Amino acid sequence: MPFQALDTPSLPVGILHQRIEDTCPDVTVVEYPGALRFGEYLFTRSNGELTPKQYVAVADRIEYLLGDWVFAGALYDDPQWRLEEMRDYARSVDLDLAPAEYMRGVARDYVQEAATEILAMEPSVVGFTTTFMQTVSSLAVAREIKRRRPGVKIVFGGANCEERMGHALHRNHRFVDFVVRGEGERALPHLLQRIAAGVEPRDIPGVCWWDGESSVANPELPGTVPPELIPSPNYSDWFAALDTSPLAGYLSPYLFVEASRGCWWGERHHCTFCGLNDALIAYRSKPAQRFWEELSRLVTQHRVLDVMTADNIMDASYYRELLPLLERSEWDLRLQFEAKANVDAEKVAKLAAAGVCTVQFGIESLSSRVLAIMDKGTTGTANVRALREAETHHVTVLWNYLYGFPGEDAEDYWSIIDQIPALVHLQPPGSVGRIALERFSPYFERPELGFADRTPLRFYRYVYDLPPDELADLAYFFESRHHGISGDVEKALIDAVDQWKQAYVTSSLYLSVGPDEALRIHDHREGWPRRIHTLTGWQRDGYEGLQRGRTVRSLHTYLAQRGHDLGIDELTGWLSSLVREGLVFVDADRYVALATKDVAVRFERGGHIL
Amino acid sequence: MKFIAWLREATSEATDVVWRANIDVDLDVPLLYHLPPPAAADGPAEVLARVEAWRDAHRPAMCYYRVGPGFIQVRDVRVPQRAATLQLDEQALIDAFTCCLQHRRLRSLTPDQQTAATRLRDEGLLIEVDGWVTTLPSRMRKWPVPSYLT
Repeated sequence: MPFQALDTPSLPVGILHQRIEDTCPDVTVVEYPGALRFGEYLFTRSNGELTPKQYVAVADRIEYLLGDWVFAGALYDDPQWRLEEMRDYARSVDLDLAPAEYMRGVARDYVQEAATEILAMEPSVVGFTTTFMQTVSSLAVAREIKRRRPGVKIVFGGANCEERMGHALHRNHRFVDFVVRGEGERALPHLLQRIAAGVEPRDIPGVCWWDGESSVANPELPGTVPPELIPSPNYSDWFAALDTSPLAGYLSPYLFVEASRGCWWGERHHCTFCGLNDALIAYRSKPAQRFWEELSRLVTQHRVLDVMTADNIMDASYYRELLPLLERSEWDLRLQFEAKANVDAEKVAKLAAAGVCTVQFGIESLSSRVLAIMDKGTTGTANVRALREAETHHVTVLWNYLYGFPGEDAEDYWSIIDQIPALVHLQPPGSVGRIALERFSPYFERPELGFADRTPLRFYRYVYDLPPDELADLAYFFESRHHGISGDVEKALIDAVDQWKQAYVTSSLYLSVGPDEALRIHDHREGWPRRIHTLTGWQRDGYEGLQRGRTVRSLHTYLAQRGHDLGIDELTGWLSSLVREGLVFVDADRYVALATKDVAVRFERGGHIL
Repeated sequence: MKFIAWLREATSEATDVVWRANIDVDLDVPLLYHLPPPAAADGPAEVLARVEAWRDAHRPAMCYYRVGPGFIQVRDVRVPQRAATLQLDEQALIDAFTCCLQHRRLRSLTPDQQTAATRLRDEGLLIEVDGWVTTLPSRMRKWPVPSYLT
């Protein structure tokens, strides 16, 4: 359902489709590509004015729950419901509400049409999966189906139905017969069997059901679904729908796949702001060979070379076991993965050679002290090394600069802001912003960490007609008192990142080695004199040693092992001069080299792949 | 033609190329907009104007191909209004496309390849000058930054 991405099939639908086919031979699964149909509906109804571009503009505004707001009028049979409140807010932040208002104006008609099409398939059970902003569109369609044909059973599941959220969604919407909380691979086939037998699902862990007019939430059991029970997604229906869609020419489809679930870092050190549910954080991954076989089947079947992975973090063993398989295929795949940031040159080279062109390293900050506050397991210099190697290997890095952590102070930021001019040849953060308070994060679950006062994000009130205590159980995003930096340093950080973005497109700082074996650093950064720094002897070896972050003492030892006998003071003075010239980055007494070994191709006028 | 093929390979490897053009043939310059334009050019004003237009139009990733299992995918945005993704899955087209990565005489190809090469030429994916041909899209090995899937 909207606002699922238009250019890729739904991963949960694809997985559960296959899982039910594997486990329930008496069940026929038919998909309804609700998001694609809504995109087509908008396109047709607006005579081609509203294309996927406008759809994405709404789908991207989860901070305003804008996609859910689009369908709120349809859910409550009142096009005016919370219209003025959102208009007032949009005016206050200069948000263009026009496309969303248009969509809201036609949402009810779409809901009618979707219900008609779904009921034409004569279903016994209609299942909805909801992640991000799919809940209200799903509720509106589910309500209409139930109104027209009360015998059809309605099942909800997905990330928005975990734990308390799932129970709140169930007990406040009588037309939702069942909610599957947690992973669905085991529970959904069992539930379908109970429904077919006309038996209440009292024994299925985590499921919510109705006992008369009482909503019952079966306790969830500890434990997670093992990878053996997670099939490769079935995307045949979605690609068939795309083939005949009037939007096909507007979309560049990509495959959405899953190699692992959970987070191997988070199960030991849950990053304080990360809203990954502790119950599902246990890390499980598919064996590399199996994942490769699943992926190659999908690529061959659908002839799509772009691949997004849903993984929270790539299995560290994949550097050894999966990436070589991808590289050996000699296919020009383009993959996106999330991975831990402490990567050296060899690992980034392996990612690039395998076709992993876009990586979310979870950089978040360049200050080791702030990274320690968030229990991120990386350092400022390790993060800069990741950015440097990504530049060398033409790998796009997705990252945002986050602030607002309890315990941080202005000095954690001034020291970085002062050095941002030296980083302008490396990829800037996509945005800089204050952290959000998410359910399941340590900041949410442990009020003593600083976010004791919390209330659901105001937009939940514009989306759900529910009392505050119910909203508090239903919501995923919360507001709280601000922590950490504000005022001048906050503004300086935002301004410095803006300048970084502008300077990046024409900046480079790269190494070359000539026949004389001298190391040359070519400085073509915006804001710096255009010059070549030449390093020979111990300075050349020293700069090589700074490929990873080192303290003065560590560098001293490194050079001594190479026969360079230097005093600590001399070395400290040299490092200070490198900092002044912007050739190294320093944080928490560690220094790391900034010059890259190659320069990625940039869009000099900005922009991206067309 | 040999130089155009070399320029295409340099584009694929993201190698910076600084070169000076001396264009003395009737070249369909817009077909080359995806390749690094010359820093300078010699020739009549009309040629210089065409080179200037090349410099204005050029940006990364305007016409490239990717190899998949049993197919070659070509993305062509040299003319933004006619931006297209083409899937080559006929073996004759794949053979001609691959064979002409090396510049060669059109008549040196087999009859089937010549037919396929003519179709590729008509789509602007192959250039022909004085009976010589070479494939135009560069293989995408190093994506420009930023490169997003969505």
